[in-house]
Amino acid sequence: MKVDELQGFVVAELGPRMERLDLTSADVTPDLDLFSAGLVDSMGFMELLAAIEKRFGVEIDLDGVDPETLYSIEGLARHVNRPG
Amino acid sequence: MASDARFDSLAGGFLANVRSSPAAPALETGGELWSYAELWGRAGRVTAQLLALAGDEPLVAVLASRGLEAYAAILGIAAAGRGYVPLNPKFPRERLAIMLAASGCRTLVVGADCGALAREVVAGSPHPPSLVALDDALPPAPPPLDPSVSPEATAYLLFTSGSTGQPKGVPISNANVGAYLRYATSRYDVRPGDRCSQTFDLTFDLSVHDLFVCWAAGATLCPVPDRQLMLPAQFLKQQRLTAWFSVPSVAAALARARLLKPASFPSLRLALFCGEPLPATLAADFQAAAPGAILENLYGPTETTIAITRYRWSAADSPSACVHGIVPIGEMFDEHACVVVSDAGTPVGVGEPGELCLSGPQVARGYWNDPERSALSFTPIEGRAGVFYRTGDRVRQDAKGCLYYLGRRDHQVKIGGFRVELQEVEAALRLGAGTDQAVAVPWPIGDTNPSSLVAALGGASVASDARVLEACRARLPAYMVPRQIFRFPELALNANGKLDRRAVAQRLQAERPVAAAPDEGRKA
Repeated sequence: MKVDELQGFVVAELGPRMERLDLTSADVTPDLDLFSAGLVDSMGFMELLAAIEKRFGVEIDLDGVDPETLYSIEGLARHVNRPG
Repeated sequence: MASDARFDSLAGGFLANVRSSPAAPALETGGELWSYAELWGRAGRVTAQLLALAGDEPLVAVLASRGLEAYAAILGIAAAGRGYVPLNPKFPRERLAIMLAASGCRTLVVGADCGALAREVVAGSPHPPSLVALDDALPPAPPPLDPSVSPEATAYLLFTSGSTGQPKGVPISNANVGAYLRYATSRYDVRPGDRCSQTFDLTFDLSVHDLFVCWAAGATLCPVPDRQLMLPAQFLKQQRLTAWFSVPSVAAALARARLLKPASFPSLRLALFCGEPLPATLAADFQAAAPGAILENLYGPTETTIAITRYRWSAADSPSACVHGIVPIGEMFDEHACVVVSDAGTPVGVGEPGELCLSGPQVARGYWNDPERSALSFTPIEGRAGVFYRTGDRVRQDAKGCLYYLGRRDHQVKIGGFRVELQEVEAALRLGAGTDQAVAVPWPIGDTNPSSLVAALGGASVASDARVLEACRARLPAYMVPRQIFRFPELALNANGKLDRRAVAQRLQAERPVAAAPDEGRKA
């Protein structure tokens, strides 16, 4: 999974929320903390994970993962792309 | 035991521990440890301020985010012998204003990050309450003495969503909550050294268990950060929690993220679930993840104080005891009575379905300033002593006294004249789809006489629509089988983390016009 590909998908998924917060796609950079930006809450993040699994056909296994490392697009991509 | 003064007032147990073990850890949050004495140092400032204020209002409101400040405010109000009214900063301003006005509070304690919101909330009020900021201007804490409170005085006032659209106030007395705390603290044997989760919003009455069972026992409260609330696995492990309490939806999220692997949570010795039906598969998976834990399913409306029935999960015996794949709600707490009544209000026989009516020391006296609705919901039952709260929940009770939750009276629907329990349809959907998130919605949405059902599925389900419907057809009469399935990444939860049927129905309606043909509505 490429970071820019995931970025495009996340921007599309969070579109309505971005609109409400007056954010443009240029604001949603790969290192943006989606939580701090108000784009997701813990439930919204679970929805995003499920959507990513479906769109990219991946199974996201969070065993042993610090959730704090997942709250940006690059963090998510890194997790999904990790070896093994 | 019954005369244990720790439970005469809400803060009594906490204050006893401030006196007896001031250095023990009461709270660990954001990497900081607060001893009982230190937490009292914060809370007592609120107590001192309230005692210094003129007047003797019975209730004080709190507007603060879940965390240290809110805990200190609640403790401080309770230690002043007042009842607290929690307001959730995440709620819309108008709703907060309605609750505040309905409560009649003349004082609002405000967290540091809620100042602007508080001023907005009180702005339109004809008699704006005075605001007490949690800052250094407050006087120092007084000695940690038990307040003198009446058993009948309100310990906390919560608002639940009302069927009429206006929030409905539920006042819980010191006697009500004292009965709960006395029972729960003893039943679960929470003790110093225990590390207890704090997951519930403070406007949800299950948070009263989080805070006050922990502090009555001299244990340590460990609030799960908002950012990890749905994925608390790492927090649970790193914080070495010994006691867990959440809605089943959190366990479902853990399962979806593959975080309920066997023996994942070796430190847990207690796992409690409450607030919505607990799927049997989830109970089994959580028990396997926490093999050393006693796992219980609790049940109780806000009107009966936190929880009033309990069912202890047993990996060997419980799966066969479940109805529609849902864990029983179990037996009544000690000193409480229940009656299952028919629509006509008369007791039904053993094993017969009916409405659950509850009586005993935890049951509230009625709704806040609402005698009409109180009279409807808190009623005598012929041939039984006491007043019973009519829950609106449909149950049946077996010969051993075990209660099985069947659904809401008001979620019963008729399809073509046939009586349908949506929960039964949802159990079939969950089974067929392999997901915990399934909602059956009468169709057309909002129609008084729906002609069929549709289904909304959330979460990762690998089963095709055809497979899911086949599973339904294998278990249900034809009129109960949904005519169509809509899929979503997640189904909506309400503010308390429960599956929100109304929001699911609204989303279906918004995205799928009623006129849509049955086979073109599937979401990619």
